[in-house]
Amino acid sequence: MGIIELVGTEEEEDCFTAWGIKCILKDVKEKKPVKFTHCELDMSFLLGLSCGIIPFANHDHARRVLYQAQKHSSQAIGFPTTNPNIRVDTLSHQLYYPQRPLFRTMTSDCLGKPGYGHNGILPRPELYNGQNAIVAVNIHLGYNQEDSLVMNQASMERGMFRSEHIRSYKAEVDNKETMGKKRISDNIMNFGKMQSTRGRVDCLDDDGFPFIGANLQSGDIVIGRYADSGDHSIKLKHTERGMVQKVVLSSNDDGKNFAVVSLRQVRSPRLGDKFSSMHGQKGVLGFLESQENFPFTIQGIVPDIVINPHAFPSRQTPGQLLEAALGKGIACGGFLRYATPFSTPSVEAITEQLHRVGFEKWGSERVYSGRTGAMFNSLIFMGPTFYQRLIHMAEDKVKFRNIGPVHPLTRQPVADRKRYGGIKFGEMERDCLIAHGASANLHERLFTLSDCSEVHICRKCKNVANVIQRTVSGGRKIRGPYCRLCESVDDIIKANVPYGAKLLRQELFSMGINLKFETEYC
Amino acid sequence: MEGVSYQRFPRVKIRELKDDYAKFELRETDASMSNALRRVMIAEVPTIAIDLVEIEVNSSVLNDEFIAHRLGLIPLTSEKAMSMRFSRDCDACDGDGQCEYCSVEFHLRAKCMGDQTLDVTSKDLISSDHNVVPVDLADSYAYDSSDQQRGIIIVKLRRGQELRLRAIARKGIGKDHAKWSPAATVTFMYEPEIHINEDLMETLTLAERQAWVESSPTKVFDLDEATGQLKGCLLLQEVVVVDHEAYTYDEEVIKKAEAMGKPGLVEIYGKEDSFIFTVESTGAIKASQMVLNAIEVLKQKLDAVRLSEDTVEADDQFGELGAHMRGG
Repeated sequence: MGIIELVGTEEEEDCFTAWGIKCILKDVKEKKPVKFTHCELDMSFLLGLSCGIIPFANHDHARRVLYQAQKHSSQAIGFPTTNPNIRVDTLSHQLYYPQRPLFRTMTSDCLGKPGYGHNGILPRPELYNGQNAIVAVNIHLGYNQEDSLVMNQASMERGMFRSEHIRSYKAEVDNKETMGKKRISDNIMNFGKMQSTRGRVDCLDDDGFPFIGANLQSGDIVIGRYADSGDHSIKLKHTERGMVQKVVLSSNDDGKNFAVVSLRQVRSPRLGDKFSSMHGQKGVLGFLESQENFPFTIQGIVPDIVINPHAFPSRQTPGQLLEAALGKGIACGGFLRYATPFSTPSVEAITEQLHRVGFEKWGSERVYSGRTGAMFNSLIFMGPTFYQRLIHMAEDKVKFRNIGPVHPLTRQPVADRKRYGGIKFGEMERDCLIAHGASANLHERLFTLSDCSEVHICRKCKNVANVIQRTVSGGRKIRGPYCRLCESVDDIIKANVPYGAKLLRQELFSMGINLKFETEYC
Repeated sequence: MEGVSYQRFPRVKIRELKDDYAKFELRETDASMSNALRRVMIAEVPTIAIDLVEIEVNSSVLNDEFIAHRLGLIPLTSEKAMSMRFSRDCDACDGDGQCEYCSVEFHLRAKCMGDQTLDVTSKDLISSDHNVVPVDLADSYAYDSSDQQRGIIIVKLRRGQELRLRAIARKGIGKDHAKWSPAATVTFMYEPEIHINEDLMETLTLAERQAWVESSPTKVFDLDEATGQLKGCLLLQEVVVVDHEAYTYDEEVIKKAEAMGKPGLVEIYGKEDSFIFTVESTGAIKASQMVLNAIEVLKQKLDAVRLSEDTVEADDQFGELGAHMRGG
């Protein structure tokens, strides 16, 4: 009795663990005692950390719980380290103002340590990766259709879901001491500022590093580095920019000297950023609405986030609604605070708590239209819900171009975002345009703006006539299309052909297969 | 009402007035007026807030943008905001914040020398204008000074860390950025009109009445001790409305009446022409001033419409509204 045993995953295999005290007592009552070897301290402890802090997880569809526990909890931006200022991660995110959720669970209490909070066991807010938002379940001018959400611009400006993103750039350099004398003369890599044709070096000091606080734009040089062979600077990709957070000079175990420059970016929510509640209900920001346009309650409360009611029926996540209703009670000073999975308070208890603090039992509220001041006909469900900002942000995904790099082989636009590529216009999209009868547009997308090229075709023999240089009578050399089969320049026409088609012809030609072109004037 | 032009004379009755809180009734007008007032208070009443920060030294744990953002959100006393110029309209300067008509300069110098963590607060901001200073809530409330309520914390410094900056505050409105909004809460409710169907109420037993009264989450109804009449040997107390304004239009009592099989036990309407406003300010300006300024801003906006009344552009711009204003 009174012994806590910490059991590893493999030991667990051989344990016969009771779910809770109730299990043991029930067996005693039924007079067929099962020999349990262990008993969980709490029923929710059969879940892991990321799952054990989901409020009302037992009310949600299992798939939604898995989405939160496996995917969203790892993608949510929080406050991941205690030493962010001395770290140099390639990419890290930090939330400006992390908050502790209003509700508590057994597992979340275990994150706390004595001496913090009112009863001494509240975990620090930095341990959570999200914020408490007032969420209304309502439509909002159609801007929250299909899992998008509307956010309050005033809340955003006051710092809600604001985060900083730090990206580090590393450059190695030769170490003169360890290298010895053997390669002393040839091609030593060194840091330093050097006028570069590849990018701007305005922000660099003479040592090749930018000063702290420099604002680097895309295409600028972050680390100046050169060797006898030329410029070896690190340049920002066209998608990257930021302020210099720190510059670190160090060496690794192999004696290689290196420098790291960290760039910081502060981002507040924008259209297209992804957010999620703790119930696998993800959505992207569809509209930033001004505070005065939101429906307001009699107390003057305005939602931070408005989500669409269609998110609930098929997803089966009533846990989120319970969380909001419970959260509302807690925010008003209710004493029912636990939302531990498997021992959650009953709906009656939650509604009773809400009623006691002066709200409609089911968490709905009467609201007035922010635009007209008229009262809404229906009650709107509103309550504080723990929301997370996920790392998928519009800024990292925007892709657009008009003219840009093309693939050297196919001469079609490249696909990669980092290389300023284009957006694929695939077969399905092609089908769409055909269905619309927009053939001129289709021709433009797939041909004119892609890999348009020209070939010369001899109408007599239907073969491709190459452009060659040949000597005409009188010893003059002229350059132009010439059919070598017909040995003539007559009847040669120019046709617009996708470069891909021309390439195919050439490749087949190299294998000994000739393609003939039937042509027609039009 | 269609087509009839009529002038209204709204009446205001002040219920409660504190520096940062006001409660008043607005009667004999409609929702368009009260909502316009609310919207203007939130988004268009000008205040002064820090808008530009030049950081000289920052070795604190928070980055420059973080501190700048926090500085921006500190409410500054903005009594003179209405008479100040927007820096974009300022003729005396090109909006660089060097001029006294459109900007106020702040300085902050803090360095932690001791082993104790130093809290840098809004009290450490030195203003160039004694009219524009960070709002101090302790001024209006009798906080016990032992509580060390020292302004709004900007950042905490540990030994050796330093923060030195120059900040420029400018006039602005909540529409541009929430930091310029003087409103903490602005809300109104329609004054409810509650009619209890006495005949139907008569049919209820005391327990039923008790249950019905308690079904309202807010204390709107109560059993009247004084009017209790003896019916048989049972003391039946009448249900009375104790506070009709406590009603939040939650319809709980109506639902309860229906559940008890007595639909129509109570009828509640929102009066379309009287509103009860609750206004709370951030402290930048007094709540009462906020209401007055909102009316002033609203008048200016209407003036702008009226001034362009007889111009040709107005016809294009306002169309029917222009015709309406000319009395057509």
